[in-house]
Formats: sequence, C-alpha cells, structure tokens
Amino acid sequence: MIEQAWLIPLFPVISFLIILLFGKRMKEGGGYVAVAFVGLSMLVSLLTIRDVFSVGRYESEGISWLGSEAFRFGFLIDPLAAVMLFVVSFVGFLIVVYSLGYMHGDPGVQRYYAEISLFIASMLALIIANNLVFLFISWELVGLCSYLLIGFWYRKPSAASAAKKAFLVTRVGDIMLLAGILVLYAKFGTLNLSELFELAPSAAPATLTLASLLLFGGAVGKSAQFPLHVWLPDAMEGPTTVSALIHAATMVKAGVYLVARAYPLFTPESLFVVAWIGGITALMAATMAVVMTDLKRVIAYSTVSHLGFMTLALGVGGYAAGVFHLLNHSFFKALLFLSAGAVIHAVHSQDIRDMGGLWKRMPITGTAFFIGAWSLSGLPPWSGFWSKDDILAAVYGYSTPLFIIAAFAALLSAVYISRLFFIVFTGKESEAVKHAHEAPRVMTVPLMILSLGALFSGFVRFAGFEEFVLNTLPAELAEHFAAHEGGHGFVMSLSIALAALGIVLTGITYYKPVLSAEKIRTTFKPLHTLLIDRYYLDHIYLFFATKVVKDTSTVINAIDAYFIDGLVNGIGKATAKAGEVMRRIQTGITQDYASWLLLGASLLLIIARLTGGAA
Amino acid sequence: MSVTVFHYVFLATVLFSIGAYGLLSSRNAVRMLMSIELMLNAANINLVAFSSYLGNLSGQAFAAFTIAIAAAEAGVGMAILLALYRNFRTVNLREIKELRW
Amino acid sequence: MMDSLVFFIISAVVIAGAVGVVMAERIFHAVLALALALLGVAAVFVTLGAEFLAVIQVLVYAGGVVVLFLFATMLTKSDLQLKRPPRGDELAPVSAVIFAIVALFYVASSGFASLGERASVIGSVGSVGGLIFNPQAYVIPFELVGLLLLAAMVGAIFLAKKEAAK
Repeated sequence: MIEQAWLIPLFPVISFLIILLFGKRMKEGGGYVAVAFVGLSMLVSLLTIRDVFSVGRYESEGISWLGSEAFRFGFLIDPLAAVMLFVVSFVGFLIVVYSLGYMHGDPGVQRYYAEISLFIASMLALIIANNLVFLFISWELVGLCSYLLIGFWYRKPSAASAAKKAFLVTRVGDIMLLAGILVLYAKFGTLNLSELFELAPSAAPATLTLASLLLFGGAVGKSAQFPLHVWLPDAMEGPTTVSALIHAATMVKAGVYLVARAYPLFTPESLFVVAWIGGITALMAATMAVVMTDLKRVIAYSTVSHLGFMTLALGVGGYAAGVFHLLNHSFFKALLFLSAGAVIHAVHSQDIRDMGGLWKRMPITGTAFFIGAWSLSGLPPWSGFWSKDDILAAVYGYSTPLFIIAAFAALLSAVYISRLFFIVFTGKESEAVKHAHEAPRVMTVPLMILSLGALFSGFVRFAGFEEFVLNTLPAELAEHFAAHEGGHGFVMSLSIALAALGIVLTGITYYKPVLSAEKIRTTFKPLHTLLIDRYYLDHIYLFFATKVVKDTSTVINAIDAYFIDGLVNGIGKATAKAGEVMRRIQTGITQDYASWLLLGASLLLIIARLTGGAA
Repeated sequence: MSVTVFHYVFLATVLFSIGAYGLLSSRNAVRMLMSIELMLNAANINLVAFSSYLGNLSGQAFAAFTIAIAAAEAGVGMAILLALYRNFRTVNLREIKELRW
Repeated sequence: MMDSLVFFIISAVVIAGAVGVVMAERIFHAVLALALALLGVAAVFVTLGAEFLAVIQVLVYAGGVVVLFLFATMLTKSDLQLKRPPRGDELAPVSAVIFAIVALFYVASSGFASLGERASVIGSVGSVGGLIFNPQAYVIPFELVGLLLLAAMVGAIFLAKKEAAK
C-alpha cells in the first residue's frame, strides 16, 4: 500500500468536497460521510504503516509543479511519518466519530464536518510531504482550518477574536518558516527534503543554523512554544472536539513534527535554542495550568507544557523520546479533551468551580479522565510515564539547569492534572452537576478506545520503538542520538517520586483539605496574580499591537493618504480631465465618425500624391 | 474633343462626392442608404470605364458582382432600418445614440 | 463630337439625379431622383459598350432597389420626419467638400487622359457570361456571391420579422 500513500490525504479531501457541496441535504450534515472517508484514510494509513516495517522508507517520484524541479511534489514515508500517520488518522477518526454525538443538532454542522475533513486532510498531506513548499502549503491549510474551526461559532465575539488571534500569532511563525525555506532554497537550490539532508553536512554551519532556527520559528508558532504560545489557550472557544483535534492530533503536533522532520538540518547551536525554548515553555505553561479555573484552559496549558517537553527532548538530542512522547501525548490528551468535552456537554459550563462529585453521575467519562490524568501525571506504569522518563533521562545527560526545569515542570504536571481530577470528579456535588448524565454511546466508545491507547501506547517502547524511529535519521546521526541511557535508574526514581509528591500535595489540598487552597493563594498572592494574568505576556503583546504598531501605522497611513494617494489620485484626475475633453469627439453619431473617416481618406490621398505614390 | 477615360472618372468622382455628402449630412436613414447606392454606382462607373478603355472584360464582371452585393446590402440595410424603426420609432440616426458613453 | 454631346447630357442627368437624392425636400422625391440617376448610370454603361451591365442596372436597381426604397419610405413613415440639417453642424459638409476637392484634384492631376481611345470591347451577355462562368475566371466568386445573396435574404427576413411575443 505504500506506493498508494497519496490516497491518505485524498480521502478526506473528497469528503470535504462532498460535504461542502451536498452536506446541507445529508443526515447529520454529512457526518457519516466524514466518518467513512476519514476511516478509509485511516485504513490506508495502517496498511502503509505495515509496509513501513518491511520497506522502511519510500519516496515517490512526485509531480513537478510550474515546470520547476524545485517544486517537484511527492510523498515520503518513513518511520517518523508512519508514527504521525498513525496518530493523526487514528485519533482523528475517533474524534470525528465522537463528533457525531457532540455536534448533534448544531445548526452549522455540515460546515463543521467539511472543515474538519479538510483539517485532517491537510495535516496528513503535511506529514507525507517530501518537499518543503508542499509542506508549507499544507501547513498553511492547517492554519486556515484551525482558524475556521476555532471560530466555528463565529457569532460569538470571543470565538471570532480567538480565531483571529490564533491565525495572526501562528502567522508570525509561518513567515519565519517561509523565510527558512527561502534561505534553504537560496543555499541548496532544492527543496526536496532527502536532497537537503544529503547536502546539509557540507554547508556552512552558520547558514544551516540560521535556516534551522527559522524553521524552528515556524514550529514555535504552530506548536505554541514560548513566546508565541498565547493563542492556544484562547483556541478553546471552538467546539471541544476541535480543541481535541488541535491539541492531540493535528495543528500543534505539526510544529514538533517539522522539527523532527527537518532534524538533520539542525546544528548543535540551533538545538541549544530549541532545548531552552522547550524547557521554558514546559515550565511556564505548567505553572499557569496550576492556577487556571477553566477546565479546557487547564488542559490547554498542559498541552503547551507537554509540547515544550517534546521540543525539549528534540533539542537535547532525545529524538526517539520526543517522538515517543508525541505519540503518547496524542492519546492521553485526546482522551482528556474528549472526556472534558463530555463533562462540559453534561454540565453546560467550563468553570471547574461549578463542578464537583461528577464521578457518580458519569462513571465512564470519569474513568476515562482518570486514565488520561494518570497517564499524564507520569506515574507508572502507563504511557506518559515512559516517555516523560525518557525525556528526563535525555535532558539529564545534556544540562543540569534544564534538567531541574524539566523536573519541576514534571512535578507541576502531576499537580495540575490531579487538582483538576479532584475538583471535578470528587467532593460535593454542585447545583449544575445534579442534572448531569452520562454521554451517549457514540461519545463514550471513542473514549474507551482512547483509554486503551493511553494505557498501553507506552509499551511500544519495549517493542523496539526507539530503533524504529531512529531509522528515520541518517545512520551516523541515529548512532549519535541513540546513546543517552546514562543515569536512567536515578532519573526514573526521581520522576516517580516527583509525580507522587505532586499528587500527594494536591490530594491534601483538594481531596482531604489538610492544606487550604485559599490560604496558599493568599500567601503567594503576587505569584498567583502573575500566573492568572499569564505572565502579562498578553498585555505586553496587546501594548505592542495597540501602541507601537498603531502609532507606526498612523504615520505610514498619513504618508499613504497624502503622498501616495495624492499621486495616484492626481494621475486619475488628470486622466479624467483629459477624458472630459477628449470625449467631445465621441459624439456617438455614426455620421460624425464617417466624416472623420472621409477626412482621413482625403489625407491619405494627399500623402499619396505628395510622396509620389501610385497614381 | 473626344471622350476619354478621364471624363468618366471625373463623373464618378463627382457622383461619389455627392453621395458622400448625402451620407454624412442626412438625418434620414433611408436617404443615407440611397446615398450609399450613389457611391456604389460611382465605383461601378470607374470599373466599367477602365474595363472599356483597357479592353479587359474583367472590370465588367466585377461591376456585376458589385451590383449583386449592392442589392444584398440594400436588402439587409433596409431590414436593419425596419428593426431600428420598430425599436426607436424613428429613422433619424442622430436620435439613436444608445451606445454613447 | 456626337460622343461628347451624348456623354455630357447623360452626365448632367446623372448629377442632377444625384443632387436630387441629396437635396429633395421629401424622401419620396428623393427616391424618384435616385431612379433617374440610376437610369443615367445605365446609359453611361451603354456609352461604354457594357450592354449587359446596363440591362442589369435597369433590372436590379430601377426594378428592385428603388421599389425597396419606396417600401421603406412608406413603412417607416420617414417622409413625415424630414428635417433640414440644423445650423451649427458643419462637420459633414466640410469633410465632404474637402474630400471632393482633394479627390477631383487627384483625378485631374493623374495621367488618365493619356489612355487614349476606347477599345472596342462589347460587354454583351455572351461575353460577360462567358467570363463569369469560365472555371478559369470567376465561377467560384460568382457562386459565393449567390451564397452571400442567400445569406443576406435570410438575414433580412430575420431582422425585419416582427419579434414573436415573449
């Protein structure tokens, strides 16, 4: 099936077109069409992945676009792409199924299914692209779809502005990505990934560092890394399924994937930057997640934090660990989001202060959330533990300050997710919770499947996952990154201890209130305010946008209005005036034209005579 | 003084000029069409005169064609005129300037 | 001498007819003047030995085209709309006069007079017909003209026909 891998993104595109054209007249707005085609796409993905085990790597000839060899678009399937294909098509499929229940009865539902099909299609295309321009096009399509879906309820002002924010902030990254692509093209004259990897070792390190950092800039925007992470928490304005898709399968994974994809282009210097950005993001987002009171927002910050972990892992050379965490995170984060969606669906609120004691009302959802939380917190033996452990081990060998940061972020992971669980599912039943009831089957079944994934995806580590993923890289690089096993025992014990400590701390605060949450809050008042206000980053950006940009724009606008417009208008007015005069000739009376014709003929006769033409 | 080809060409030129004047100055489309017939006849005189003076019958054959085409032109022109008249209730072309800016 | 006299008389008739077409107050009179001018041209053809064309001229023009104009005059009631050209519109006469002067000067300054005596070709039905139907000469143009006339007829009917009620 590997030669037919182009079918993978094609199926959702077909679904997009069908639903776009006929969705209004279909049952559930074409939801079943979307399920069918995304399912087909998943099937082809699975068959392709099976082939990857035997073939290892496949790159298609491709089709040349605009007659340029630089734009020869084909697809490239290797172990990294296989992992991503699995994540995107499988999790995407489950989310679309879940949507049948979650989006039921929404008036714009056919728009939802069309957009989500395109979303999945463009993400799949991004994964298999073997050309940076192809990748960039898919990348932009992913951005567009996320904009459309975050702003799905566009009549709601907050949703519309969140969509705009997501689009504009990621755009900053997109421009850097484009710049990176241009640098690479200028340097190597090709945009084919395999060719680039071959040429890269011979290039000047400075150029390569610049190019790879620009590519990473794109990843920072897309994967919500510091300092461009501000869009992701606001992106919660869309339907929860969209959040799940953005967080677990598509969108934000694109950034991490890009770094992993272009890994041979990264120099040690740029990897250093990557590692630190990842570390800072992981810690910062984790601290904010601890204080937020919006259910989805907490999970959103958790995503940012874990994306930071993945970036950190890639930065410190833990290539397999980063990809491994990406896989695991997809499962438990999709699970957390979808169960959070079920809770929101039932309680009609996103504020965790309205919730409590939901366990009895929604046992399946509660169990699912519990599994997701356990996995995320990093307690053994479920998936999150293994990948986090690998990452910490990789960081341990790289730099001590970064290790402390990562360890602290890991501790906070356990704190915020157990806090969420204790507040929402245990304790006293609140007023809103009393009317809650379990979600329909179409929503709980995907939850169960994802639960299995979140529980067991960690064990692929023992089935040779690392070697499999490292096959993606050129041999010498793979060898370089394989040896990071030192101090594993110490790291593992520390990791377990930290997770346990975090859960215990939260437990004695929220489950059996030995410590008062209120008291902690007042004691660390300034810190709490800082975190609630998200490190004032949004304020800084807002200040920048309103003050600096606006003042500059005013000046530029004045130049435009008076000088350039004056020039243009002047030309226009002159033309109009000339026309005013000239149009007198155009009387619209045929005979006048004939008269001029006759005069012209006379003139020709005179000329013929004067020049001695034919007599 | 004998009649030369010059006389015929002169006659044709006068006839053509009168036709042109009629075509340009008439307010009435019927009269304009008639002026066109005059101009065509002027051309025919030229053709036949040169045919006669050069001893080549081709000119006369061409004149025959011209007459045929002039008939076709008159027929179509008249039909257009009737259509115009139906739409605008006038055959004064100065009053028909729908296409003017 | 006789030739010249005949020519000048015929020319006078033709020009008088033409002026009548352009100047007549009523369109109906203009059509009659046109008939006169066209018959005059037929006579010119006779003086040039083009007998066949003279006959055609009478048949087609005097018999066909003039009748057509009479119908048009009646159908469009254009006789009632006759107006003299208004003052202040000199473009048409000026351009026509300039053209006439230039063209006559051009003809006068050309060497046409030196062509000498008329050749004795007679444009009889036989000779012109022989030329037109000669495969080496004008058969194909002739057939094309037939086609053109057919197209013109269809077009004229189509244009003049009253539009069907919509």
